[in-house]
Amino acid sequence: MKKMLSGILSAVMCVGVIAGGTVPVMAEERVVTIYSSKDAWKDQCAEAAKRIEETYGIKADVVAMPNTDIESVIATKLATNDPPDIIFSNVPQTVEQYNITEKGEILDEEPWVERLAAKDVLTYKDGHIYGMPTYVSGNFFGGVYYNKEKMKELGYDNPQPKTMDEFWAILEDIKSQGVTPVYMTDADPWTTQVWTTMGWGVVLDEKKDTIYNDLLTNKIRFTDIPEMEEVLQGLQDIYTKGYANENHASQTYDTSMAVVGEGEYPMVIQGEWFEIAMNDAYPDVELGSFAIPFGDKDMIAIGAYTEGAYVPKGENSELAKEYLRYWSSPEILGPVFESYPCASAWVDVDGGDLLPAQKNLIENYVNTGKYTYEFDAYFDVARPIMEDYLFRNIVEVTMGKEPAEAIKDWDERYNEFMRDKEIEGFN
Amino acid sequence: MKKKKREDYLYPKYLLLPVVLIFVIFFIVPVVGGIAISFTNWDITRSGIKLVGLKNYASIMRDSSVQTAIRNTLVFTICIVVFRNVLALLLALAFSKPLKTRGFLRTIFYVPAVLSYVVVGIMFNALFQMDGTVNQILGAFGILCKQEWVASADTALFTVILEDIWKWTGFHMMIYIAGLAAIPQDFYEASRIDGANSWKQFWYLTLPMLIPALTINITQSIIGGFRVFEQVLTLTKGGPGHESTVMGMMIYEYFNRGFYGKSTAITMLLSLVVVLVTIFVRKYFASKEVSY
Repeated sequence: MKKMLSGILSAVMCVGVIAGGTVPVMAEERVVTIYSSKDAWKDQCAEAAKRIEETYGIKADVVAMPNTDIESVIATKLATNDPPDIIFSNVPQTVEQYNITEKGEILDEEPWVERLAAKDVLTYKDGHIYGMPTYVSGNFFGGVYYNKEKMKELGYDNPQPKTMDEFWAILEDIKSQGVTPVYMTDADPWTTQVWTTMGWGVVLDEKKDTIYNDLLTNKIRFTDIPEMEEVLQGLQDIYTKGYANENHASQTYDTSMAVVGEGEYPMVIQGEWFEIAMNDAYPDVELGSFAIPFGDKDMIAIGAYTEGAYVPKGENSELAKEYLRYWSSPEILGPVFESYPCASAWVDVDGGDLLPAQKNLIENYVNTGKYTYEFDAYFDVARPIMEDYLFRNIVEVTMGKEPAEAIKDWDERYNEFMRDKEIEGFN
Repeated sequence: MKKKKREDYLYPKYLLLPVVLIFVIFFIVPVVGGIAISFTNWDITRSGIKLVGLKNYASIMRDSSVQTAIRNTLVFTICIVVFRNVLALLLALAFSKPLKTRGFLRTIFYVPAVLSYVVVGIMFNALFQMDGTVNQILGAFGILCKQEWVASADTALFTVILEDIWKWTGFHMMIYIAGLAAIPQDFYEASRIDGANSWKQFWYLTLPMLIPALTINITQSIIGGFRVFEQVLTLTKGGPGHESTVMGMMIYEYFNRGFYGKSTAITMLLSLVVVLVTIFVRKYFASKEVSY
């Protein structure tokens, strides 16, 4: 009986399949995998992803890893031809590092390209666009970000020093009032290097048309540029003169919001991301900002990149492109920017009112042309060794290493790396 | 006499095939592949790979960070081999005595061995911060200490060594306890009758009879020492700068940055050192083993 029953059932199923449509088929779920660092996957990204899923039915499977791990994971995924559908990273800063010219899709023909607010920032040196900005048109408006109320208590209402002497005088005065003026987080070398990448950019501004190219072609060495040592010496002075927290070497970036928010330390040397994070964690604390007048110049150094997304070549790349098209649309980003105001990457999406400290730097420096690009912007080719051999060297300077020695160490590593890469001029 | 068929000869060899295949695929091929890669310029940004001879090896030996890593790895290995084993042996001798609490104490000392490095790293970070427990305890004794133990170039490696000794001493203790338990009590009674005091018993009886346990523990410590990685990653990340970096961290960093050729070259160097030292240690202790 059992045999007969199973035979009948099998026959029915076979006929059903042949006839077509009797075996129920689950609707295929549309999912894109996104790999990002935890810092890059901000709340506004999560909000945009949620809106896309609700509106267009494409789900994002997000893998957000610590900054220290993300590069190796992405590098391994790309090297083994098993990439995620979308990679969040600094565009076009990491094109070379991840070999995106070979491993990624060219996005020149995407409809959002025409709507970019700062197309030149996105364009790689070969003239192509490999990444889409995730929300802002440009990143890194660095300087001193301070707790306005705390600074007022210390006698400073909107300080804007125009020379280094004025800058040091402020720090000395605050210290003399029994308050350590600057909070540094050198357990995260990327925060320590903010001083140098800004400072070197500013002090080398007048020579920028030749000096970076000379360094990239081995016509001069880093050790031949005295201005770089002077900027590093300035960084060391912050520590030796007692202007920074004693426990700077063990503190990480994520501890800085609390100490500034609570008024324990009035200042940090950071980029606009600090104000965005503060706005989330301490919305009642208003921040101010000022440019550090490196070399007595009243200008700032900004980044030549933006937080963005690459689409690696793969089976799912068309879906990934479609996903980014939705992401860039006013329908998705408009409501997001209402909660998270920023300098919008899109001409037709209003970014809202900028936060005050960032607004100060953009209005008074960027919009008035008093800016240059940060030092790092010229050395994308050496990005794979920057964290390990430049940023860490800078951290060692904060702990007593001679600035000249740090620059010499970096110079040697840089030359060896460029030789290995068979860059012209280094062989 | 009946002549053996060809199958009769082949039968045992045929049975070995699956094991040999697994060994070749999962051990021989990766090792040979690794050796080959270490002689190439493979990095993530290159579409083509070419042989570069010994260039990777020469390059890493010129790298001042690798030199620091070699020095730190040697210091780390020597320290942990000595301290893990001396402390473990002392604990094993103590906990082999008929104490009421010995079971409890053995467990307490063994527990760190089962904790994950991430947990231990967080614990030690909290202990050795500037305002951490260690400095607070020192402060309670009137010693004002503002030392950044983990983040200072002078003490970062020291904290990693301390963490490792704390974590693994209990594990080695258990092996020594097993070794001590295997020594027949008759030998002690005989030696006592012959007039041997406790020190002579330890030196001429316990220690020689513990050679198998010593071999295991010292070999494991040496291999663990040369392969040190997680301890450093979770505690100091090789910093500040590269002051507490080790060979394992350099492999990780090179790989992290996409330099697969160089990363593999360091791996090969490290493997070679581990193999040579292990062979030497095992041969040395094999010559010291006693049989009864």
